Amino acid sequence: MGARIDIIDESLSHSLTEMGDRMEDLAESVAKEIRGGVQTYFALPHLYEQATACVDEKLRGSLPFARLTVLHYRAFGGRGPAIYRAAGAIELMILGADIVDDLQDKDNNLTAWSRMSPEIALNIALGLTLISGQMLLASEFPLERIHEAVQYMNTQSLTAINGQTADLLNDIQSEEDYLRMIKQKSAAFVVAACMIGTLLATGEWNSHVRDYAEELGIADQIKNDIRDLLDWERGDFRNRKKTLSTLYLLQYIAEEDQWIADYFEGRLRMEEIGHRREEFERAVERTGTFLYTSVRMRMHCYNYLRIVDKLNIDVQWKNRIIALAK
Amino acid sequence: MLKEIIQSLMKDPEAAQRLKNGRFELAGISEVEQRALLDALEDTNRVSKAGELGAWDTVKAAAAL
Repeated sequence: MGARIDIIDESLSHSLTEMGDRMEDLAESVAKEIRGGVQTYFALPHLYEQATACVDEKLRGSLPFARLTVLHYRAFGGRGPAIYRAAGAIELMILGADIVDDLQDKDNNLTAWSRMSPEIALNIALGLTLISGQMLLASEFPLERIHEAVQYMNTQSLTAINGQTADLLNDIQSEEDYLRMIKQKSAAFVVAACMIGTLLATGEWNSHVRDYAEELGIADQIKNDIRDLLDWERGDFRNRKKTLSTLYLLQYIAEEDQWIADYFEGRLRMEEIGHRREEFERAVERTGTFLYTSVRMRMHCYNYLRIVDKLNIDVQWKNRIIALAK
Repeated sequence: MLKEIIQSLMKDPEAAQRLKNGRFELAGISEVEQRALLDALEDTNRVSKAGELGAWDTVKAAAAL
């Protein structure tokens, strides 16, 4: 559900290394868990092969959600290798959501799942979601913590489905609507990654972690939206998605740029405006759309930092978490 | 109010400089908004390059995993 995230930070690597999680080992351990889960449950050879192609693509990335889970597990006192299976489960849940997101938005032709039939890709997405739950259930933690972690992962997935549906309907009239939607669609997965790591380490809910993870997810989605605004090849513009950037832009466009509003309201087709990209870029600059969006994104970063500062954990770990947004 | 201030800044490019020098009053917005606005203005890539929005790109640039 639009869950790609750019949280990749050298300091995260260092912090985990100090706790015995060498980055290569972490990625290898998480990959092993993910491959094991896929091999166990996708028995049909074709399904297994296609799912493996999807997983391979995921594993070529930096596994930021798994790293967030492991970081929080270690930061809150968790020890041992059991967290890798939980971290793998988080990544599989998000891979399933990403596949569904791409099937619905039809805006990404570069992925393994976009090159296979949508029927098969859908089955893989459903299967990965279920495997992620199975992996978490089979992880080596106290049963009570597993129960709460699975329940939380399902809750956050359902939250994301609500947000994704709101996004598909594109019935965003205000910034409040938009923020509500991205809290559900995007931030829910960041919250899940951080909270499950914390929960498995401590057995307790930590509202500070939930709150700052949400700020992190919102900030990242705002950044993605502004990036996609000028990328007319991607689905967001083609699908006339209302975002913080477009809502602001539409509020302040000049008389001569009304064609932009006509496009977003569906009165003009993409073919009719395809030659006006430079005009569009000038309108974006003239209205201060980047500046406004940058300010709003920064506000969520600062909220993130403010809440992280309240954490009652070792200052070394706190600094590692703070460094994610610096 | 933040939107109105940004509109003023876009219409009067010298206002941004006055703001940085403390000669442009930022009334009606919160401290967090003020800090974010000043920091965003300091980020020279902000307006011309959508892909570089400050804090997150610093994180991205530091990526070495």
